[in-house]
Amino acid sequence: MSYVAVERADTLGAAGVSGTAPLQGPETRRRRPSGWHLLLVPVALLMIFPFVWLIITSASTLAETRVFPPTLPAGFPVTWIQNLVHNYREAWTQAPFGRWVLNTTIVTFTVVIGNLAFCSLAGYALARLRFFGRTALFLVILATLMVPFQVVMIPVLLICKYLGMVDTLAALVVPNLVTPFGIFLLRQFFKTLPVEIEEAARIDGATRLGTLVKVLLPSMAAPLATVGIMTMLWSWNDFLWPLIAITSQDNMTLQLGLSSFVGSHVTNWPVLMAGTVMTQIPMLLIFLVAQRWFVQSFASSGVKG
Amino acid sequence: MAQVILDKVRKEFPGKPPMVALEGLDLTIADGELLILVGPSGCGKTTALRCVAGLEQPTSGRVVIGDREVQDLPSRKRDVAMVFQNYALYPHLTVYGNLAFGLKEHHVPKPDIDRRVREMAKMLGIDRLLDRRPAQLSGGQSQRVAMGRALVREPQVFLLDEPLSNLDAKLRGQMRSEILQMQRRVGVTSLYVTHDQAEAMTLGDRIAVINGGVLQQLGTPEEVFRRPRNAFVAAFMGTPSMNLLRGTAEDGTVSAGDLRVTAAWVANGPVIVGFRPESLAPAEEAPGVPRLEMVVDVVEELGNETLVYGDVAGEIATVTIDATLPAPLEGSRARVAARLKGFSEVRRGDRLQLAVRDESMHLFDAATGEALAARARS
Repeated sequence: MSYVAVERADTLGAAGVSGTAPLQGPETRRRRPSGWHLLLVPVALLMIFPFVWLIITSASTLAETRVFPPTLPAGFPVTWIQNLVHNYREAWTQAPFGRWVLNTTIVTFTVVIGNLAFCSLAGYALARLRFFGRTALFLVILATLMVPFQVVMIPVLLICKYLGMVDTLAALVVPNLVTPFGIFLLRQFFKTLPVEIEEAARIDGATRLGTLVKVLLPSMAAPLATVGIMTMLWSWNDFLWPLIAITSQDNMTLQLGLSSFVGSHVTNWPVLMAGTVMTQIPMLLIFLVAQRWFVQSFASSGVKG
Repeated sequence: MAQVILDKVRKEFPGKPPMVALEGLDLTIADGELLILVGPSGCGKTTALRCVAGLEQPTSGRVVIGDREVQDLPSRKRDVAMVFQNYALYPHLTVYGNLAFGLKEHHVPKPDIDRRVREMAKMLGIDRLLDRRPAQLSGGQSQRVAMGRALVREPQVFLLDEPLSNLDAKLRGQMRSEILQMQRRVGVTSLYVTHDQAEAMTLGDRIAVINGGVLQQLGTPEEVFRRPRNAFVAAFMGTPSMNLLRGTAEDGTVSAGDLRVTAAWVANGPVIVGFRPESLAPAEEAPGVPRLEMVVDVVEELGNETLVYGDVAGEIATVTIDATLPAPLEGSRARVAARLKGFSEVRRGDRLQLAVRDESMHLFDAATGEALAARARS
């Protein structure tokens, strides 16, 4: 349970309560090189290499990608830039890329909002409301965390088909509006909040829902950010479920659309890599802006990135 | 302002077997009165408070505030305010936000909210802290904010659940008098829960002593202290506790160890003899009254007085309050406390002749613990 305590402290810190930076401040960034850097720098390079190679490939010609052993494309920087422009334009025009960006954005945004709303409500109910079968229900929800998606995807598809949602964005949104992980995480956090705060709000005149919205949720920035960020990453990068649920090109998401660049016989790697870079740009921008929340989310949820 | 009535309030928590927290509690708190609910941990005093607040629903019985039965109403419709033991301030709001929260929820116009919050903050001396958040406040400041948050709404009933127990001893004394002053100034009907009998004695207009979910005695601090209705109240109120010895009444005389007390109205049979530590004095200061010989074990010099603990002949009568009471001694010795004036030359192992001032002697039925008479005469 110690991670929850960490989250709590960070919540307060993030809200400016503690008056100190919740995560690493300038002092830690200016730390002098230590022996750890001998290990960390090569590991960081190893991690960043695929992404750098992705960008380099998107600046190549098709012929240059077929050379073995692989080499850097010729003509740096002018030819590189020309290739980049060409490949990105190709990726954007060969397929309805803009439409895919819009679809993915709609799906991700709705799923994130849905998870924040419904997981909060469910987590609160499981933590605070007394009702028959509460523990059993929680255990059932927890148990679903242990079932691989591959096991349930066909039944879910059949339900979607029955509801007439197949090949619509609704098929990507509705089954994912609430996740057991989100419920579990928020329920655990609700349990750490002193019940007296809620009671004080109720005596002060707030309804249960009012207490949740005005008092409890504002105290939960860190766990809500965790759920939001993890849902966003998962939803944006999801490939398998859209592959099953979506058939028409207009309803594809980015990840699914990208796969259409892979041909049966020939794959235009530079164009595919250009598309891949474009799908990653929104996530990269969000990561740069909300870096500390990302780090905190993964640290506090105990889930590997 | 309003009077509060608890009418045969029973509260049972589910379990196997069910836990009965309140057993038909009858209590009337007059308009503007400060009533203290006091009792040991788990006696049901907080449950009673929560039944008034609407945080617990009584299993049966009525809760009346003013002329309204409120037991089925949610907290927000009862017009009560509460100060919690851990203050329960909203961590994401400033002091101003905390004070204004209840007023906003009751749709008070914004200029009124601002005026009332600032007035209350000034009255409590927290007007410089309005922009701070709870994490930046000290214990005493948090306590004041919690009080202000409750009082700014001008509720009909003010509920306090052990509000001073998280403060250090010095601050506790200071806040105690501030709470009293504030309550007197505002004149709001108040129910104050504490397990600290010193707080109960100094704060309350009346005290309700509760044990095992049952009201033991309701009265002014003086009544409860001087005329305890039963051995439990006698043992609970006062520090150190009242000394209780097992005795026997026979032909108008009660004997307990060395002690002989004349009580003509007491029927023959076993009784409990009670006398407070401050009723004991060195024998030479009070000749002719009932006497005890104490073998001194512990001496606590407090400057203006000396607490002496030792054994006397006799058998202690135990009243179950909590584990802090001395356990009965083996055989025919009983542990007794005496409060002597000033410094004392007494040392461990001394045999001390003590006189028991008769006017503060109490007799209780050995079977039921009920007081047999307010005082016994020697």
